[in-house]
Amino acid sequence: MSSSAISVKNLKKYYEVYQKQPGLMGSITSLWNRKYETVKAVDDISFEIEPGEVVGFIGQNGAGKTTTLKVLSGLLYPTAGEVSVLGYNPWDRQAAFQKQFSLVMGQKNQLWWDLPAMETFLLNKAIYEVPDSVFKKTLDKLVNLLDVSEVLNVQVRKLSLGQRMKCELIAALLHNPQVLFLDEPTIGLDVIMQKTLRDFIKQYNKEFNATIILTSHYMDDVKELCKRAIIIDTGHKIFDGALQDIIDRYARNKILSVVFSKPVTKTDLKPFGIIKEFTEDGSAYTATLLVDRTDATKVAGNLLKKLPVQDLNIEEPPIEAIIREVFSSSDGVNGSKAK
Amino acid sequence: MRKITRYTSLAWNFFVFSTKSLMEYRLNFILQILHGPAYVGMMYGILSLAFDRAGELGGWSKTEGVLLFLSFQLLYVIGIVVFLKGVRHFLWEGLRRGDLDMMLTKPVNTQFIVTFSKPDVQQLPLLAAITVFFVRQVWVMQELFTLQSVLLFAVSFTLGLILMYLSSSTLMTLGFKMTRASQVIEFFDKTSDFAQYPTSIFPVSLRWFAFTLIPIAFFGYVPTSFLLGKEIWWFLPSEILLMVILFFINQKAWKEGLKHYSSASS
Repeated sequence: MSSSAISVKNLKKYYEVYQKQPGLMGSITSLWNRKYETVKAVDDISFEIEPGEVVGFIGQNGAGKTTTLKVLSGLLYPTAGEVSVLGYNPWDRQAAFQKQFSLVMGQKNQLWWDLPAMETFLLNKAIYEVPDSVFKKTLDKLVNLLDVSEVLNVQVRKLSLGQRMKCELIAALLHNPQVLFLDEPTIGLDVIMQKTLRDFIKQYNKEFNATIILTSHYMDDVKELCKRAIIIDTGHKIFDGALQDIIDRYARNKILSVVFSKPVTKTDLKPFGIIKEFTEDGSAYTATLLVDRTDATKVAGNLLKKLPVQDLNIEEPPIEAIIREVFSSSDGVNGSKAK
Repeated sequence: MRKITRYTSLAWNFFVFSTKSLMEYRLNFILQILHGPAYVGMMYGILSLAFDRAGELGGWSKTEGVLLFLSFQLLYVIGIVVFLKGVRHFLWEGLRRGDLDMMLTKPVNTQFIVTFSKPDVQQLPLLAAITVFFVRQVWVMQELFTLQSVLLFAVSFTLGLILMYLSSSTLMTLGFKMTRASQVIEFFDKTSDFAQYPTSIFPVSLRWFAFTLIPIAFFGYVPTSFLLGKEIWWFLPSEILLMVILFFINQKAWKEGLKHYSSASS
C-alpha cells in the first residue's frame, strides 16, 4: 500500500433492507412474505488521505458517510473493495490498529450512563493499556483544553449534551489516537460549544499530526477545520478536492450587498441581477443581488456609475448554498466532477 | 500468560464498574439484597415438597436432590453474574440498536467484551444466599464424600460453567441472523431450569439432548453425580469433548456472524 494514512479503493457496501407494507395486514403478510431491496450505501468510492490531513466528509442524510466511517473503523465488512488504515486492514481488528484510532459518533456514547465520566476514563485506560504517567498527563491536558474539570465526578446522565460530548471526546482521545473518525461530533450543540469543539479538534490535529475524517451537517465545522472535502451522494463520490475548488466550480453567482444613499426602486435594480433581498425603511435602502460570478466586477462598476451607492460588498455565497447547488446539479450527481 | 492476566484484570474492572454503577441507586441495591435469600428459600421449599410426596426421583433421594438443585443454582447464578446478562442484552437489544459498534472499536476480543462487560452484580446477594445453602448442604452430607469425589466435582463444575458460557455464547451468534433474538435466550433459560432435576428421570431421547445439543446435564447432574460417586465413566471425557467441539463451533459462528453485522443507523 501507499504512504497514505488512509487508502480506499473501489469500496462498496450494500445492504439488504426489508420493505414492510404499512398497517397490521402488512405486518401479518410479512411473516411469510418479505420483500427485500438492495441499498447501495457506498458504491465504488476511492480516495486517499495523507497523514495529518483533516478531511470533511459531506453529504445529505443517507449519503453513505457513516457507513464509510464504519467500514474504515472495522465495524462493517465491505461488500467489495480494498481499505487500508495506517497499513492495517480494519476488519482484521488487530489490537495494534485499534489502539491507534478512535471513532466518535455524535449520536452514540461510550460513557457509562450511571457513573461519572472519570470512571469511564479509568476503564478506557485499562482497555487501551495506557501507562499511569501518560494517562495523567493526557487527561490533564484534555480536561484543561475542554474545561471540564468541574464535571468529571458528576454522573454522566446529569451532564448537559455539550458537557457529555466533551467527555466523549476525552474518552476517545485518552490513548492519543493517530487517526480520528468524527461522525457529527457537534450535532445538537449550541454555537459556542460547537466553536469550542472545533478549536479543540484543530489543536489536537496540530499537536499530534492526527489524520482526521469529519462528517458534519454544519458547514462551519467543515470550513474551519478542513482544507479538503469529499462530497458523497447516494453512495457515490461526487467531489474530492479543496474547499475553495467547490466554490470555484459550483458557485455560479456572487453576492453583491449594496447600501444606497438615496431612494431606489426594485425596477432600478432589475437590470443588474437577481434581487434576493430589498429593504426600504424610509431612511435606509439596502439590497442583495445575485449576479453571475464572471460579471460580478463589471456589474459592481455599473451599479456605482448608475445608482447612488453608499457602500458595496462582493461576497462568495455561503458554502451551504453551494453544497445545495452541488447536490442539485445533475452532472455532479452523475459523478463526472469526481477526481 | 500476559493475555490471561490482562483479560482477568479487564473482567475484574467490568465487575467493579458494574458494582459502582449499581450502588449509585442505594434503595434498589438494598432491596436486591433482600430478594436473593427469599428466592432461594422459596425454591428450596417447593423442591422439598416434591420429594416429600415422591420419596425419590430417578434414583435420587431428597438430600441428593437438594444437593443437585443447589449445585445447579450455584453454577447458573455464577453464569448470570459473570456473563449471561451480557448474552441476554446482546440478544434482546444490543444488536438491534447497534450497541456492538463501540465494542468493536476496542482493542479487546469482542466476544469477551460483549459477554463480560455487563456482569449482573445485582444477583450477588442471590449468589451469596445460594452459596450459604450449598455449603450447609455439603456440611450435612460430608460423610458421603471423598477427596477424589470433591476434586472431580470441582473439575466438572468448572467445565460445566465453561460449557454454559460456550453454549450460551454460541446461541448468541444466532442474533446476527435474527437481529432481535430474545426468544433464543428465553429458550436457553427455560431449558436450563430442567438442569435442577436428575437427568435420569427424563426419557432416553431427551437425555441424549441433555448431554449434547443443549448440555444441561453438565450444569448440575454431572458435577453432583461426581460428588455423590454416582458418575458413569464417560461423563468426564464427553464433557471435555463437547467443550472442544463447542469452542470451535462458537469461534467459527462468531466470525461469520460479525461479517454479517449491519450495525444500526446513527
